Amino acid sequence: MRTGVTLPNRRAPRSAPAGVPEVGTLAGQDDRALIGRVVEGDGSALEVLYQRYGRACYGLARRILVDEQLAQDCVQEVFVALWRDAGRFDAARGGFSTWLLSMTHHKAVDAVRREENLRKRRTSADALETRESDDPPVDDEVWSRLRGERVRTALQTLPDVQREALTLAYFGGYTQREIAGLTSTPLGTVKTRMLTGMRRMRSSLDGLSGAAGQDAPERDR
Amino acid sequence: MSARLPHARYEELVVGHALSALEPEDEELLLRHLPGCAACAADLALHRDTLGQLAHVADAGPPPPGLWSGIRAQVEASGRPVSFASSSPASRGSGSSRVDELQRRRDLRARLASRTTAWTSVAAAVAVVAGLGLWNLDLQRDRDAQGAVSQRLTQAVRAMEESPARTVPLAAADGRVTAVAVVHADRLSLVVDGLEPNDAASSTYVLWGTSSGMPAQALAAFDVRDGQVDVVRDLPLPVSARAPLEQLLITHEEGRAAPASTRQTPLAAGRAA
Repeated sequence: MRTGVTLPNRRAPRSAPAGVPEVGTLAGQDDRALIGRVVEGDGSALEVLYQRYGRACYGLARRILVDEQLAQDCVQEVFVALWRDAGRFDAARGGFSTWLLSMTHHKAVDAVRREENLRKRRTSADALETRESDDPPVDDEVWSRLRGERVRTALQTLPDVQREALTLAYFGGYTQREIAGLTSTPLGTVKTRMLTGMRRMRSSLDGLSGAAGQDAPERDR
Repeated sequence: MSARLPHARYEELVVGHALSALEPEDEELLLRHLPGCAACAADLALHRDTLGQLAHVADAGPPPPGLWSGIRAQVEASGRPVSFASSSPASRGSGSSRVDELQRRRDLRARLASRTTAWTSVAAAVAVVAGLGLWNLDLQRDRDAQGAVSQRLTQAVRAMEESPARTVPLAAADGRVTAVAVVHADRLSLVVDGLEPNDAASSTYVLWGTSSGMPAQALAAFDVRDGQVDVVRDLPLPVSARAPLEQLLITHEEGRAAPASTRQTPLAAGRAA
């Protein structure tokens, strides 16, 4: 369900924990400490987490949903869910950003599947399109230059069919069966391509050369 | 009731689950299997980590200014006691959230009006990805530290934006960009990602600048840590180096101080002019 875009009037906080630090002070704290503060009711800690990861969450939601308003709704839903139940994050099971982005992805995919009209309107090229950018600020340029090379290298290790399967699922929100239909490929082959592609990506990102040892043979079913 | 699957099938299902791409029946199969299989649980964590890194490539620029206002409003309306520090930068824009919203809607309408609906083949889409090189990815291992690094970079970049700056990528011989320098008239900052960690007890990296007709001059010495994006902020440029820089170079030097000159082969170089 989409949330409205009209913002309710801001209410005064019902109570405030004593000694709320300034946002600038919180900015130096790690994610786990900030989550702890969110659990205790510190909205500023949530704000720092938003400043830290809101952009990544928004970018991911925007890529999947295409529609800017839907993407905003999705990110809003994610951070409000985080506020309501920050205790769900379990550091033993992985990093906070991984968890948050996984939640964002899940909600965005749910939304895109609900929005059938949107789904029909968009193309897989939309799902993979580069952002519409006007003069990216310096930080964009710095990050993209730094990361672009690494990522291109990682992706170049993937055969087209594996890259296709992963990107359609992750950024397109398609199910394995839908991808099988889109690409006229047996479902079992799609599954194998995804597994193999993920392993290769992982291997590339770990700085290991090649991943042949982890590859599973493709099969047709 | 379904028979047990070969484990390799579960491994495939784990990937599909991480991608939210499973059909309901497969999802059900996996969710029955996961609680009792440490290997699959570990695989799931790894896949999610990889996808979490991939998520960063979908950068769409900064979120609209009104987005945080909406989140904050919902948080304050949630019924949980909450407090915000008074000087929160993201909330300073909340007074204009309605204006932001209207502008956002105008932008959205314009984009939707211009969006084409032609179906492009999947193969072509993937080719677009590869061709345009729109991917980028964060390779930091310390995930909790990632936000802090990002924050530092953002602060560094904001400081850089206060005055005109040039961004200079420095590439290795194979063309791989391993550092980016942001050069101001009187200082520079350097973001390093891709150089081997140095032994901080006995060696250092050195950034050199060259100007027309002048020998290379050491601008800064810095260390590279393992698995980190290193941000070297606001290095003052020696007055003598403020003549228009033509080229920036990085070398690895023995000892802990930048030498007066170097015979080392540059590990990365970029044209500043």
